[in-house]
Amino acid sequence: MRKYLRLTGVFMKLSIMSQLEYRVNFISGVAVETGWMLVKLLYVAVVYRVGVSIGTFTPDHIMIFIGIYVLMTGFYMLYYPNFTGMGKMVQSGELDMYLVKPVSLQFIVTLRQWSFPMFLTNMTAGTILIITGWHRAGLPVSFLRVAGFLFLLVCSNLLTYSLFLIPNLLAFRTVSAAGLDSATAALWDFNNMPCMIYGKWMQRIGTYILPVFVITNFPGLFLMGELSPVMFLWAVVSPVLAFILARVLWKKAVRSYSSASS
Amino acid sequence: MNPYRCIFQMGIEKSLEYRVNVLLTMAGSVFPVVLQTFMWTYLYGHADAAASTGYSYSQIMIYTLLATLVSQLVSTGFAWQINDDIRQGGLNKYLVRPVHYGGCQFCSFLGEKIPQFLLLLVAAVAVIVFSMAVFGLTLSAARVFLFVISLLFALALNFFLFYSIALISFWLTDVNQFFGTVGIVLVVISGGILPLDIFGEKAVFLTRLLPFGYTTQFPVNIINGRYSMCMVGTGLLCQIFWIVSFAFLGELLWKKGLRHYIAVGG
Repeated sequence: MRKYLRLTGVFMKLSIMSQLEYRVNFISGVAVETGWMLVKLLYVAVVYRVGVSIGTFTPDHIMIFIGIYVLMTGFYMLYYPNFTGMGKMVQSGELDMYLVKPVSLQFIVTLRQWSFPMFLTNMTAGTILIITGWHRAGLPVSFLRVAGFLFLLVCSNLLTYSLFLIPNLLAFRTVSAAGLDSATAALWDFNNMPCMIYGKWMQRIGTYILPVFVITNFPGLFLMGELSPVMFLWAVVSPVLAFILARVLWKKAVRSYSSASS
Repeated sequence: MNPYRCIFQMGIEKSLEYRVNVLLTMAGSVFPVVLQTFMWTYLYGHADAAASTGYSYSQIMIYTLLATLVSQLVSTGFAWQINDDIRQGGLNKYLVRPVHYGGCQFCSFLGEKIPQFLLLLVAAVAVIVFSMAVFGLTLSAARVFLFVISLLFALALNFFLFYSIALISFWLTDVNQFFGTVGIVLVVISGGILPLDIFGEKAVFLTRLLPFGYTTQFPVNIINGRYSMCMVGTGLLCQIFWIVSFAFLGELLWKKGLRHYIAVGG
């Protein structure tokens, strides 16, 4: 475990160094992500404009949900380029090089590159939205609440990684996964608004079958004191189950890999 | 054969070559529509959203269904190509031929858009029939005709807008990320995600004054009945004004840019 943490640190350092080497690209990356931020913030603006409440949640509470979505997008974007680059690695046979390394193949393929421009933009905006919504909604600040919230964010990160790795494994079988990529991105965007706006069945599917709603809604519900113990348990168990599933499917996908290079 | 007609036909062929890509791109836009449909249904069902946005429920739903389609139709992708041509010397082959580079890009763009335009028309007809049945939308033939005209103007306007932006490549070295940012921001301020005039009087004033809203928001608001015939007439004139303005700007940038061009590579 310590070896992998050290390796992660090294990969992060290398990524920062290479990204800062081309500063204009780094700044441009921040600018592109700021553009996408504008799209996300439009929804906050609409909620405040209409002044709607979702059940007991006021627009300030909704701002927290959207803030968590933005923050989680930042964490997801940190390693997202690894997912989208998998197809190219399989097609070019570059994967061969990593197969012989004395570390977990899944680790080195999926957590090798770290994209900081996208992370920084989303993390800053998401944190501001959460703190502003927290303050405006008058939610109490206590050690337990903050610790529980941070713990659920960690769980959500594991769930995001596992859940969104699974569709990308199709890169081992298809030539181009561009359509799939846009579909998974669109699936992620369903978290742009709290899941309570969707119908009952959609909420159930998004919570238990394809638990995308768990990622951004559960930490927010915990912060507002609205997460039941059973749901808290699901927020902890579902990432573990998803990770096991992703691991099994990863091994299966790698077994089907045949080098495409010379 | 006329070179421009040839380039136009090549544009059609290019678009048909990547038809799965076109279909997937259009299919990918379904998810945001689903999200917005749920959002607006909730907002209109639980608050007096019509009073704060100025749109009735049926108008906003038709907007949601059509804006994504229109936004996809008018979208451009040639800015990166122009950037490559300028940086890598691909422009040289146009300069030695008796053709105008902007004209070639325009014909290629139109050719690529034809299959998409036909596909959009089918989708738009389906959306309109659905809206008539579910939201009680009433339409006159004149309104449909004006919608199609405004759509064609929107295509031309977006072309000249992005052509002018793309020509900035003469002065900047690497603008790929810059185009990405501009593309996203323009989709937002043209009303491709949400209608911007829901944000009050100032937003209404700005969307009517600036050219961006005339690429997406204006055509959609013709069909959903939000604009009166008088406003439609004024809007079409504004579209023509902006098309001519950006065509002039593009020509100006082209002439000035060519003086900077050093024909590297090619």
